[in-house]
Amino acid sequence: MSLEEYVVEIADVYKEYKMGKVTIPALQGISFKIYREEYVSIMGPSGSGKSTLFNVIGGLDTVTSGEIYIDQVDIAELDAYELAWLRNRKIGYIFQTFNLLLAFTAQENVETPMVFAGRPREERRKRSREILELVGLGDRLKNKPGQLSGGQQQRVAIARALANDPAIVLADEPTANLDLVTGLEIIELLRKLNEEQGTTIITATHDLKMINISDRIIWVRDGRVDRIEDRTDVQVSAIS
Amino acid sequence: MSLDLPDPHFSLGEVIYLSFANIRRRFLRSVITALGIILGITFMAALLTNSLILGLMQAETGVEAYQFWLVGISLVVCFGGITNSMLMAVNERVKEIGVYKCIGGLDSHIIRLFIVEALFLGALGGTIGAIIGMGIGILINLNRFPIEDLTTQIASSSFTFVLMFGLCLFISLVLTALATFIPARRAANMSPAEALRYEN
Ligand SMILES: Nc1ncnc2c1ncn2[C@@H]1O[C@H](COP(=O)(O)OP(=O)(O)OP(=O)(O)O)[C@@H](O)[C@H]1O
Ligand SMILES: [Mg+2]
Repeated sequence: MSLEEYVVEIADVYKEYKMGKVTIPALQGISFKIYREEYVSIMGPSGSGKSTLFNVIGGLDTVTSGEIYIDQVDIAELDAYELAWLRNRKIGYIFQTFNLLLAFTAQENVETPMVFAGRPREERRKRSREILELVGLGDRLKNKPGQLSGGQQQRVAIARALANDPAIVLADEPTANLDLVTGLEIIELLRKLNEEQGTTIITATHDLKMINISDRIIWVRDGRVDRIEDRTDVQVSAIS
Repeated sequence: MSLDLPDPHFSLGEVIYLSFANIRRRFLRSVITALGIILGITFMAALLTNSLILGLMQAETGVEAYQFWLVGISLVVCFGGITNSMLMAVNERVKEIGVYKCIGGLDSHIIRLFIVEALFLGALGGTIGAIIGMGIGILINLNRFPIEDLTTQIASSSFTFVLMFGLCLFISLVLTALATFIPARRAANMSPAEALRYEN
């Protein structure tokens, strides 16, 4: 595959959190590349740095050193407007705790990224309805997050992530707050998105159910890449 | 740098539409914030009016000496009350700012949304506060002076009262805008991850 095929490239990334005099090394030299239209799961024990990685890949937090390229562009060199554009159009985010706007209805939550994209009101209304129908919430447009179950809230969050047709969807433990069945539904939704729209999906997860649908699994431990496995390898190793 | 993007499009009409929608959504909270503003402005307007009337009537009531201090205190109370209301109102919305940033809100757009919302509450609170406060300021002088004298004096210097109303409104707008701008900019300057983590 040519270089153009990489949609995300992480090169020797370090991230330290400073808390007073204490420095916590959350990422300690992480490198990997993700192909376009790939479904990648980032797995590892609690505290291994998955959420930190999620934040820095998505441009939600800065790195201490190292580079992150999205579509061959070093995101450290983007100005505030370009970074906002990236978060708005290029990447859709899904969080473990949903991070919906609680005072907004489901539909308004999905409309907000389109507001920042400068899309007209009518188009926003129409498009948000379509996506919510796509995730199976066509009848809950006017409900606020507090009136929805966890699984339904996560589907609103997925709809919001899809609002501006991102090329990449980043998800941080999207199923961790959900029961088994609801979790499977969310995974199925992500899989369909990946297969039908060709959206690149990167999820940080504890959820072994994710293994079955991932193209590759990146195992992290103590802020480093432990190993990278193709799905076929994982299944073989699981059998043996 | 290299993305070659179109200009950001975020018209004033859109900002006003969204700000009003936000006030409507958080109606009760907005009312409480507005009450804080009203209280501060009422207190200041009442004392200013009282002081103005005493000056107009050139009365020897023995309280003139305190007027300077009273007006000073009223300004401080007003300043503190309004700033506190607005700081709290923004502080409990840092996470919301984090969400806006995550989904592509530009700092300047987010701040604009908050400022327009604050200016509306400031205008509303300032107007109501000034009317109530000036009413109180006149009422407390009703039994101090003959009512005819009072009305002629107020009528002859009605422009001063209009000016004072304008001053109250102006102070309300400036304080609400400033006390919103500073914390909103601080929140918008955080990285999105940091703002999402923020706990009040
Ligand atoms: N804001 C922060 N300030 C200080 N330290 C942090 C912060 N966020 C994370 N850390 C630390 O960085 C390390 C990696 O944390 P991170 O949240 O990335 O792990 P994780 O793999 O997502 O864990 P989990 O599976 O429990 O979500 C941990 O040691 C954690 O304590
Ligand atoms: Mg985590």
